[in-house]
Amino acid sequence: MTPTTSSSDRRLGQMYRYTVRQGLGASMLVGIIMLITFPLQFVITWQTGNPRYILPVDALSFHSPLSLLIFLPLAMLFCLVVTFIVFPYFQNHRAAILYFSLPMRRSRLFFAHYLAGYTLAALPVVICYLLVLIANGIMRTGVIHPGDILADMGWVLYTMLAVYTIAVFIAAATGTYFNALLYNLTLHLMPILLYLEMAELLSATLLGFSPSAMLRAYDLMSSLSPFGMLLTRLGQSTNRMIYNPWIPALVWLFLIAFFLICAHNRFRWRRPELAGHARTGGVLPTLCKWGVSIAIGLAFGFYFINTTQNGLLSYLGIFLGSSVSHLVMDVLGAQGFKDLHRSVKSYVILAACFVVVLAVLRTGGFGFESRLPEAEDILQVEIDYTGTQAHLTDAETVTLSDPADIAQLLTFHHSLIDTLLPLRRQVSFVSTLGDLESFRTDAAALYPTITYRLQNGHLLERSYPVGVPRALVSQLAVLETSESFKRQTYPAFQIQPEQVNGVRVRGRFEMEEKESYHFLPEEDYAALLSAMQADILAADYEEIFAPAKPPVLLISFWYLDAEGEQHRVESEVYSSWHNTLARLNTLELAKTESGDPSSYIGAFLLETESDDSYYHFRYRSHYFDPALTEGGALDRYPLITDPEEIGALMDTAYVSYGAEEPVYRLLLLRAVDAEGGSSWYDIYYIPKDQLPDGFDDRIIPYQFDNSGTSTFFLLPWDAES
Amino acid sequence: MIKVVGVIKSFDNVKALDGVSCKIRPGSIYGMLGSNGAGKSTLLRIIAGVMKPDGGTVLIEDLPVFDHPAIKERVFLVPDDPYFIGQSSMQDMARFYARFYPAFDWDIYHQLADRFPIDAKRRMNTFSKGMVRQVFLILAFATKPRYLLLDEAFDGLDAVMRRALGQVITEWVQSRGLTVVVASHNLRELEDTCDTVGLLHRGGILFEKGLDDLKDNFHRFQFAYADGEPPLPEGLDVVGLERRGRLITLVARGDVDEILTALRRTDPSFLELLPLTLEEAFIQEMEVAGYDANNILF
Repeated sequence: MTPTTSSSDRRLGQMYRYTVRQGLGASMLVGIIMLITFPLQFVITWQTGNPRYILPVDALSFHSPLSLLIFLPLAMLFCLVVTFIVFPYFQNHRAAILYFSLPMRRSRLFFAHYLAGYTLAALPVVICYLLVLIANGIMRTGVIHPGDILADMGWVLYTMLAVYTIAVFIAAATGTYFNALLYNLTLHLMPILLYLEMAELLSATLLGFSPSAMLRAYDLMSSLSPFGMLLTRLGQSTNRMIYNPWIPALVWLFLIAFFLICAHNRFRWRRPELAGHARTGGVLPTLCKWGVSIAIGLAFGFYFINTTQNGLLSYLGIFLGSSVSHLVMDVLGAQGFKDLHRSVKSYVILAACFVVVLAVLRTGGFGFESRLPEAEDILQVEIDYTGTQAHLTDAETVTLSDPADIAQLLTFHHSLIDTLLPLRRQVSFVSTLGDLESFRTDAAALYPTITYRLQNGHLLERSYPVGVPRALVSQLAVLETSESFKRQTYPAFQIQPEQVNGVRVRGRFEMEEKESYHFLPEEDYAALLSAMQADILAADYEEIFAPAKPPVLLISFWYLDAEGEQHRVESEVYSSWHNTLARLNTLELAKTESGDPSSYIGAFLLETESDDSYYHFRYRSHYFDPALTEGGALDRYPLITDPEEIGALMDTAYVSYGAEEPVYRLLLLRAVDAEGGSSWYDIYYIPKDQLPDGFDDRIIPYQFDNSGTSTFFLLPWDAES
Repeated sequence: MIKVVGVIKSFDNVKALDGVSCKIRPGSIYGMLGSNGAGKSTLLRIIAGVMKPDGGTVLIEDLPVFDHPAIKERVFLVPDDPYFIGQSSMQDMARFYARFYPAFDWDIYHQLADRFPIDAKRRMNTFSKGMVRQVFLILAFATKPRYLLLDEAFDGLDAVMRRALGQVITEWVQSRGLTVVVASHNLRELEDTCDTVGLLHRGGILFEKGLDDLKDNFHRFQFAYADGEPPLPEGLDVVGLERRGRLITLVARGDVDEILTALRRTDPSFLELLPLTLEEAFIQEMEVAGYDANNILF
């Protein structure tokens, strides 16, 4: 007698209903917690929030913090737990005997339980969303479209399906609760963690590797794990990530089907005696152990990198971390040391693979470090950096299309590689790029990212977190004189007259922001910007990189961007900018160079004993309170009081940014309180090679107190020594 | 009929069954005897379709069992340590089985529940081992199986329950043609119920014999002589001989009347035929086959 389809289907339905009824209690218990953290929170949030500030709904703002922290993780976690509820025979061999002896095809038994498990996991989530839908309709806030609520529910349920299917596959492939939990954590979390760690490892060892390219690959990252898919989608609108959520969705559709088929096949031929028994062998346990070992090992390595900056120690940390975690998992997973000898072989293979990977990276990654495209293959180049003079406050992306510019950049790039690679080899074979920096004294604070857009549509990106050698900086500087570069970087070209919301002009020595903004007609902004553009385009290499004098004025523009947000940009004006100065005169905004030398009590000229260029860019306050020693600072240090001498020094002084290191510090003393305990100075910077004659014997050596405040101390200066 | 042909089953590196073959006639009660680890439970589970053998076949009514619901509807396995679902009671388990066994009979269930007094609504996690076995025996009969597989089913049952169970089994075999396979390591348990016994040892069937044949093959005599002791008659197939003073105990194989006649010719002052227990007959059989029973059974 052969079973009829109807009786088989009936048994599938019977088993499904029976299993759902058995698990309903647990499902509802979880549902109560979900109810509190999601629908209730939703009602509270939207009821008490000011509708004026409620933005159009996006994935992240739809959820309250509590639902993000509890509801969503609980929904995912319950997918793992429900696997143990509906498939007891994976971990309990007595249950296996009962279920496998039933007159039911194994396939139908499997699918009945699979469907029942997902029903139990999804039911409380669906109820919660339906309650939110109802509440939204009742409250009539009017800002959440019901379709958005249903779409959000759809994404959550889809993610849960992926998580659940992986959990079922793992349950079918393992024998103990511990192993099932371990492999679930591994398969769900390790891919993303390993991806991020690999980006970190490659950027630390492979010259030119840009982790940002990997980190911007949201499509790929969200395809590595269902959690990644959900989190990326939640953060998409908030972080304005550019990615297509349907790509990972399709990837996971394929993976869900794949894992389901694998789980079914494992189940059909599963030996019931495996239930409750841990095995150290097999593909899945080995891969999971390797994944966790690599992740923990790399974490150890990064810890050593960050604390010691030593490549050798960091690699030892990787081996130490991975071996310890591999050992612990084997002992715990196999519930003892009896199978330890088998794991030695597995670990040796893993360690050998790592050595091979390390060797590949250290020898250039199959030409990654040194290979560049040919000039004729390049359509466009983008370079992302702060400019050789650090005159760009943030890293700007400059696009070069002119073949001459591209050729110049390629020359620079080749020179950079030719300089850095031998240096790195000299340090040590096991060094990281961080080690390289500690051995260098010639690095400029210049860290370019170069992206070649090729004729065939491909992109090739290289990023250098190690400073460009000073000797090569001039090669890039040449590019900065091109019209294309100027138009892409100078603020005068980046804003439109209709965007400008105010302008302010300050003299070079006006440290305090006394001046307010002027609001002019649009045509005046247009004329001013046009004048600045003309002067910028006319400026040559000398004027840009070696101006005879510091800038005379500082123009600040307030403007609104396309989204209506307000921004400010500043631009220096040099004495050679005749068009700009003339326009400012016309607008009656021109300032004579302020800073009357006779208004100062005196001036100190200071020289630091160490390279405090970091403080050069950070220190902006013009107030300081020197630690006075016996006799007081004014008695002990050579104070320059002649207004003409002060004027000569002021003539070559820069404000906090713009001066090329090395510099002297010019402290212009404005006032001293009655008791001599505090002083007020304006601080400027004079490039050492521009110090006027006659001041060499009046330079005071001093040392910064690295206390993170604006206070610094003056060393006692002994004129006799 | 249950046909087991060359079944092989291994667990990791241990061979639990190594080419086991046997035939279990319909309407018989087959006792599967063997020490712990002999492979009894494994063989029963394979016959029940719980696991697939690594080699060989198991056919019930000439059809394979594994993943074959139509055949498995007629088979019920009561394992040595039955599993019950969650917080269920006997009533809950009955409803569970009723969904999947089309022949499940509630009348039989209620009759047996009355006969073996068990609180049907009480949670089974409060039951003793013996009570849980009772529950599963009741459920087994309620599914009206044609093939009943009992793994150490009498363990944990008191004497009264064992007798009652034996009676039910006998009734069903006679009235419904039930085929029963009982696995045990205790020959005394099987003696009252089984009609065929097979000995499983180290993954293989050592021998198989009808119980009547087993008992009829060996006979024990006690006799004594007033004066002296003449030699034993020739032609006797003596299996065991023991002397205690002048009392002689002889175990011989062959026709009982012929042996008695031969012994009477020696003119003993006293001659008596004593019953041989199954265990004794079994041990004798094994020793004839060249095995030390002490190494196989306990």
